[in-house]
Amino acid sequence: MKLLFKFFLIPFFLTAVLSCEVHLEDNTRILVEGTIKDQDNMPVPDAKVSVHTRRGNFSGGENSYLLGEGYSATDGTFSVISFYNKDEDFAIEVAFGETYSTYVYKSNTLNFTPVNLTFDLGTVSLKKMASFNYNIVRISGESTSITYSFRYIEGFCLESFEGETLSEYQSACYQERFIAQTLNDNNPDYEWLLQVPLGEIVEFTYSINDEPEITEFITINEDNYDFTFSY
Amino acid sequence: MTLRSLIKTFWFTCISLFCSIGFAQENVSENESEITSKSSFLDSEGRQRFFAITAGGHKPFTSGDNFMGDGLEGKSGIDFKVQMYIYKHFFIGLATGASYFDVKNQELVGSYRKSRIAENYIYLGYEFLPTEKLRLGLNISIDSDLDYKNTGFSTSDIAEQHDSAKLNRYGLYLHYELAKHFMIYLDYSYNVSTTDINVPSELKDFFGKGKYSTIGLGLVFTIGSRDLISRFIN
Repeated sequence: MKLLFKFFLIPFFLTAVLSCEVHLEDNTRILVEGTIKDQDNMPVPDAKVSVHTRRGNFSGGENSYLLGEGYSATDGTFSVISFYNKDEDFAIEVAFGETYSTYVYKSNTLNFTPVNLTFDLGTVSLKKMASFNYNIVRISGESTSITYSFRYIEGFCLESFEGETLSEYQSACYQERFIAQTLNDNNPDYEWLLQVPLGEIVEFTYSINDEPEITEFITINEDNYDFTFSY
Repeated sequence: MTLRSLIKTFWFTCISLFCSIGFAQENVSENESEITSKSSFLDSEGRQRFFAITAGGHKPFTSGDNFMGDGLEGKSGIDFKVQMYIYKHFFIGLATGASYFDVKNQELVGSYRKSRIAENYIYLGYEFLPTEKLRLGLNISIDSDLDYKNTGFSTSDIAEQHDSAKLNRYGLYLHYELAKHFMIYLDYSYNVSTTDINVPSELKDFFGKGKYSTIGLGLVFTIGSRDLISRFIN
């Protein structure tokens, strides 16, 4: 048994642990370039462009490893020099905190090397984000309940590529999100904040005491949009 | 066989030669040194040596519009060299060492913090004798092997990444003789590393060559009092 442990299990364990290490391509650098514009076609300066590779970890989640990073210039152009990794989850993220939406270019690079070692993302459109602060307040006294929902566009765009071909099945760009909740005597009031692209419409649907649903459309036209609904 | 393993073999051979030939000639050398010989800027029989072994440290300085000049900052380095005088003061040498750098601009080179260049090279040179105590040497590398080990990534799961290069090194040194076989040295070198890094065409100039200079200080031990060819001729 000891022999089995020594000659088989230890090498197996070491291989399993060491295989979690990320091995970057030696003697290789790539260039990531493009231009960032907002929904009004205006350049977005100072957006962060980061190149990542991802790996599963022991807990079943994913770790993200930074290979290169840079920022867009005043005219919105960016040019980031990075290491390269051949991996199923090679990603380039364009982000600007909560001010703008986030764009992710994801590619399987196991069998793919870009032409001239350059990932040209072209024009990346980021949407300026607004904070939609909603506050549902009960003023009608006890035993009144409300069921409501918000339908809105999230500020995230993932484009997944197989080589140079966009995989629409694996992509998810500015998708519609839906949240719903019921408030009653146990929990009569609720306040929350959503990040929504500026200029988008939030669909608010509610029903008080199981009466027919009513829908309101709210255009987010301010950076900080406060919405209070009393029932 | 790589240059690195070749240099290791040469080191071993050189040390063996020190012991066998160098010490075996010591009695002859002492007698020779008593002979008042003709001394000039180019040659001096009395100051002829067979081997010189140097050990020291250096400070690297990056320069130029390239990935080293714009992206790295020199920190420190170590040097070990053995040079054998082939004929009079003409020598061939083997060197191994390392230079350490910090990354000062990750946007230009990638997201890592430190780089270590392992340097192995063969060099040729000539030593002049400007004064009684000083030796002025000029040398140039003829074959080389550089290994850039890049470390300090955002996570310890990425241990290191390697780049390789060839070195063109132009060196100058001053040896000050404290004793017959013991000196201190001060040296300067200008280094151009021609990398093997694959990059987009617009970055070829930036990553193709890295330039750095070094200023070093250390100790020199010499062995023997005759050059290699003289040992066979005379």
